[in-house]
Amino acid sequence: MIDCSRVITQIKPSIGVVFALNEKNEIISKGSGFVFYQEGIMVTCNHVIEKSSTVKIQFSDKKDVYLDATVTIQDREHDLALLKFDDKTRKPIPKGNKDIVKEGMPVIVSGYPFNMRDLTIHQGILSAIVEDATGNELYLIDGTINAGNSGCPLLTESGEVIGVVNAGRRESFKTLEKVDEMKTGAVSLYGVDLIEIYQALIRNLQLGIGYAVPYFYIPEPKTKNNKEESSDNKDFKV
Amino acid sequence: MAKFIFKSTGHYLGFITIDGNILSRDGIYLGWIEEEDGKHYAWDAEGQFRGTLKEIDENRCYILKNIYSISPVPRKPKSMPSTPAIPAPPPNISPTPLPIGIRDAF
Repeated sequence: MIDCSRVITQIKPSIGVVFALNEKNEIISKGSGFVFYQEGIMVTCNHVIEKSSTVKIQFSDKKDVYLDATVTIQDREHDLALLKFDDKTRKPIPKGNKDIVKEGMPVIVSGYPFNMRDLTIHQGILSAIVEDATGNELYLIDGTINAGNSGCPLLTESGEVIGVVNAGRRESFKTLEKVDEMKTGAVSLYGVDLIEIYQALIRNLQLGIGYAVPYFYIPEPKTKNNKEESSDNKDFKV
Repeated sequence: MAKFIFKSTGHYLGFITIDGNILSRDGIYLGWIEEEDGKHYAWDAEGQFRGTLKEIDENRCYILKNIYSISPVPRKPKSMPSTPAIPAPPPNISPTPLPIGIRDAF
């Protein structure tokens, strides 16, 4: 078992909760994110924020503060997004490199599962380096990944980012896919939508395998020569 | 010119328009085809990945899914810009056996 205590002390101030809000200022989605590349830039998963009107960030050491964040880049293909926020005190987590990523290596996942406001830390191993059906590389993690962990960093035991955890992805089963595609509102029991319950159960199935997007897919923030843009320009959002 | 898509059973499924939209034999919009690194991937109208286009020739295509592959992130749903002319349906063809783990995507 890895002793993560030194790493968690270093990275804790740089991992936040990401809230996606609708026009009525209601929370419609929640995930995790981490400061990366430079101060004031946070990485998260696109699916956490893509339906939002506004985005807020909170850190576990300042639970009464909700920072405004702006979505600057959305990469739908890899399900990644960059947020900009105004707090230069939080340091970016260092980037790993491809040479250190090996199947079987110990990894750390640190984020905010479920509705937690306290940072949690989990460890596991990098089970496999795989490709999806269109050739994008993915890391499979043998570890505890739950809803809310989406957007949190996948770290080496020395605290370098090697991926972005994606709790929205899961193994596909034909039967479960069908439930996922069912329209809600058709069947209810005592006023509770059964399809919604089934879909929530599927989303929270804990199969012991999680996915992470390799760090090298994380889009770079804006520089003078690199204007902010989405991998799909139609997704561009400011 | 439209490309005809068949199921592995040999039944005519629909066609692909010149601009890459997939329509059923009755002209119902099913999704679209995207080219990436020389491969052609099929996405349904909701943006879910469906499979890969296998083009035997322009009059015989299949859209097939490897059930053991990991599905990519869904794309933004697209709607059909306009309804094209529906070509006369070709006759069904002989069934084609599929390898283990491969199935019709639609």
